[in-house]
Amino acid sequence: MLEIRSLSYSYPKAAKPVFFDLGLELQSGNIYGLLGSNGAGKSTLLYLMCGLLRPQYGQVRFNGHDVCLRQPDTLADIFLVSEEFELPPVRLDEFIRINSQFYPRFDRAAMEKYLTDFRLDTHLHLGRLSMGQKKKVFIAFALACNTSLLLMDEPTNGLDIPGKSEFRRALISAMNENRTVVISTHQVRDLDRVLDHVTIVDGGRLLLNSSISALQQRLAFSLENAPDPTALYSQPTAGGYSIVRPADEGAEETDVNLESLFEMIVTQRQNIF
Amino acid sequence: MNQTFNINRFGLLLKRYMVENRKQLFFLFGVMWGVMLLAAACIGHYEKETIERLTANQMYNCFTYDFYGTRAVLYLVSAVGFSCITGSYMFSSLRTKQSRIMSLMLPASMAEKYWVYFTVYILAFFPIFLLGTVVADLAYYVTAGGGIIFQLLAFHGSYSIFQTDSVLLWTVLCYQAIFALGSALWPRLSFFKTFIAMFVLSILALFFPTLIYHILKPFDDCVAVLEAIVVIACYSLAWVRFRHVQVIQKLL
Repeated sequence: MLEIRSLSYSYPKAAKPVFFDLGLELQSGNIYGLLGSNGAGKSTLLYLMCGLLRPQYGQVRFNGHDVCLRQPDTLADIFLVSEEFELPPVRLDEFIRINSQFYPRFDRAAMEKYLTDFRLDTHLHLGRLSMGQKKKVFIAFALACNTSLLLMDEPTNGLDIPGKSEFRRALISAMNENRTVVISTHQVRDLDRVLDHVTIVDGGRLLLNSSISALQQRLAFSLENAPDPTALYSQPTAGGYSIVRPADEGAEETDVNLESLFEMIVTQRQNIF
Repeated sequence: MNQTFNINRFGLLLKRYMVENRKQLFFLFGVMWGVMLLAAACIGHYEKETIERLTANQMYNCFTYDFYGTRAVLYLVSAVGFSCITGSYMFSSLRTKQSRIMSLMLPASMAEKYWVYFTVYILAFFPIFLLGTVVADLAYYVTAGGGIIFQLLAFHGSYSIFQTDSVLLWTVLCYQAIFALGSALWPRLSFFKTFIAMFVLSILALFFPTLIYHILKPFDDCVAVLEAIVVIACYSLAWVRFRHVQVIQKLL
């Protein structure tokens, strides 16, 4: 589906490259959580994935096509929900009518369903919506376009509390085996239940790329009253100590605590696999 | 489907651009029409007042005076001025990071996007401007209580665009192309930045009169050819620049 090979990228005049010799392969039917510290290059990686930036070395191929060529057919199968975006000051139904024609698999019924779920209707004027409402409209449109690759940069930023749960529901209902979603986020608690793959980048390198089920098989996450020096990770948190240990064979799988996992990977910089 | 240029996709893109930017376009061309209309109305009013004060002898002499001349100057200044302004809007959708992402991610080829901007801000300027001269002439006719109108669109006469020396047309096209290139280089505050750049270049040219003389000498008898070369060069450079636009701010 999406293949990144030996990718190196640095911004002009920057002392250090954002990525150096990065390799990554994304498979269809998964929701990838792209995690990283501030300035680690999450948004840059999303822009590289959709061809908005050209790598100095290496290649990004989507279904065998070089995304940097920005061919219309490739772009019609990729949708980017950037953190900051601009919607034109037109009526929503007008926006849908004009823009949906560029996406051959656009589903009008699904769009209306997502809008209803987000408590919006098609007669709104985009120029009069709040930022959060605009984000809901944009997310609904992105999901309804049914593109094979959907890239989202901090999608839950600016959404209200019901909006976040509606977003999770809509995302799950929009998933199918031909679709890949990559979500770059800091708000891991908003999305930990929907992600089925975690990718962590830091310092220009890929630190982790694993499915949630593989993590559950290998690691056990718990909240305890006392620290455990023998654990892989043990840090004080609200209500006790967050502990990460290697999972015991045959033991019941625990939910992955993405915050602890991220902290462990980034601070200790150890490859647990 | 053709990945370089598809006429259906171009049509969709053009329609989308016009709908989503209609306020800006109405404002831009509305200001142009408004200024021309107001100025022509003032000219009409002033000429009417002047004629009413004339003696019979002065009136006789006045008939030999070309009444269309003042408006011709107005239309010339408007053509150059507004073509520069509309040219500087050509790449306005690359002004901010947000609008640049929306524009670059749209499923259409770079050539289609370029031609949409070219059609809206460069090609459309001419019929809209000419219609503006018709409206302005009508305003003149009303305020002056009669007079010579529609000379610019007439097929005969010294002011007809069909008779006008092609240097004039190429001069307008040349300025427009320079400002369009400026828009590709500096999408934000493009008009002012291009104006300043041209001013600085003009000042620099004063220090190298011999060099400028030798560059321009071969075009002494065919200034239009030089201007045509500048036009083609500017739009080609704008295309190259546009093709390499990326999302990052630092390159723009």
